[in-house]
Amino acid sequence: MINKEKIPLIIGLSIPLLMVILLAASIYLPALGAHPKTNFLYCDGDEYSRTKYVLKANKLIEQEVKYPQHYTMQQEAKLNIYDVTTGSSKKISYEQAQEMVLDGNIKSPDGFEVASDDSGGYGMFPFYYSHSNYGQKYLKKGNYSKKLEINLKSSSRSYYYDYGFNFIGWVLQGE
Amino acid sequence: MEKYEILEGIKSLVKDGVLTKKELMDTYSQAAEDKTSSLANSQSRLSAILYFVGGIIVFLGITILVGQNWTYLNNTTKIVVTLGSAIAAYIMGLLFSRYQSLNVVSQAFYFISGLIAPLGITIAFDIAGLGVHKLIIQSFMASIVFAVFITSYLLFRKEVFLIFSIIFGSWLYFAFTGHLIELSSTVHQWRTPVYQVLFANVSYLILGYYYSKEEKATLITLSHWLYGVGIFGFLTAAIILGGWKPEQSVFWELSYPLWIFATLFLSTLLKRKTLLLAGVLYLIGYIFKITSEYFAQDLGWPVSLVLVGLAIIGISYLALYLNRKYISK
Repeated sequence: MINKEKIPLIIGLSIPLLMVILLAASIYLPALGAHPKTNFLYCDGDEYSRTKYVLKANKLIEQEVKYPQHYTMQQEAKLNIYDVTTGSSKKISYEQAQEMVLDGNIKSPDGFEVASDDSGGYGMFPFYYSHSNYGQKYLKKGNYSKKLEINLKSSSRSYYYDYGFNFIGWVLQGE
Repeated sequence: MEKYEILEGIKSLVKDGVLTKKELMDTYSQAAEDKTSSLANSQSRLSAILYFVGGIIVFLGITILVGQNWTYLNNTTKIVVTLGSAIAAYIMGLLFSRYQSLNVVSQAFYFISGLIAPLGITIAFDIAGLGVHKLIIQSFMASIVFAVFITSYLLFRKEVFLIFSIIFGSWLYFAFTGHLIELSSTVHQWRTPVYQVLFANVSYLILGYYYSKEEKATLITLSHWLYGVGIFGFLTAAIILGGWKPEQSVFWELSYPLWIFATLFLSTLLKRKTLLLAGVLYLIGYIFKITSEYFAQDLGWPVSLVLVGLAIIGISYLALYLNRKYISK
């Protein structure tokens, strides 16, 4: 039997737990019906990368970028495959990527898209004021949204721009 | 009443046989004892404050020592100075608590331990390369210190453990819900963290009510703090949730006066001046917000100011009336 005097204590302690349950429900319930299957190819490199990748007839093509001679900071853009089922990235070579059939549409054949954090920042002093992390990417479809575990090179990571991350296309074949 | 009149009154009571010598002497002794004990109480309160001020100074000393010598100290020393000091202070508190006369000193050492423990655990996790900026790691650190302090409170029933349990519990709550919010862009919106704050403050208010029923003076003081933090946090979060035209939330904007009047009603029911003050300040704030949001352009700024000024005079009168009639009585 619950002591009546303890009821305010129980309610007081249940309210933060209720917030945790509501948040968890709003994150995990939409995920029950969403099963992304199509992996995607992206490249990690800043705007001064030596190479740029484009899609032509569903195939990857490398384009060399010409910079003035005094530019010495150009870096190699790295190609990666993001596995949507395991939530991990794997580096691949340009030759391997060329074997793939890619779809450059924003939405994957199963209806998902890669979106940025556009929350505009959140938090209230003194608790965790956070800027909008535009570089943070999510896999989205309707109410379903999952944080992508993408660790960009430190030189191309940014809270305000996403020039480090370049979505190339959904992998249809050849993985 | 003059002393001469009182003595004359006593004389007449003695003559009439209403007041005996024993009753008079007992009353005199009781008053003398009360005077001595109130002096002793204020002295012990002063020494308790000094113990805790000493605790804060020790905490500052350790923080500055580590901060100034961060590049010179090796990792082991950093952990020993911070986390080691927290553990040492806890053990000292435990040893002192065995003697009744050193009870306040033991609480001062627990206080030092509570202040340094979060710093110590953060430095230890940072050195271990666990990425202390990640909210999930912060949740883990907070849950460790929270578990230690809540267990200590349940075992020893010292209020200092309860205060730190509420602080570390809040850290755990904000870090873990912050981690959940980051997981999905659907909930990663500006209103979600405001709800996060709102829920925490409702919890503080209810805990404040629970501890106001306790007999111990420290728990009643704790309840005043919880009421104060809770009501200011709640009303701030609720007014922010209202948003601003054209993206306002109709529910929060329309329900806000109800929250204010509920606060004023509670202030009279619970006899809490903090609630009255918060209710009055936020009612003024709400009138300013609504006037500038909806009426300032149509009525013009000067007319709006006149109306707001009159409203503030009315609210001030209401506050004085409620205080005199229900709270100070």
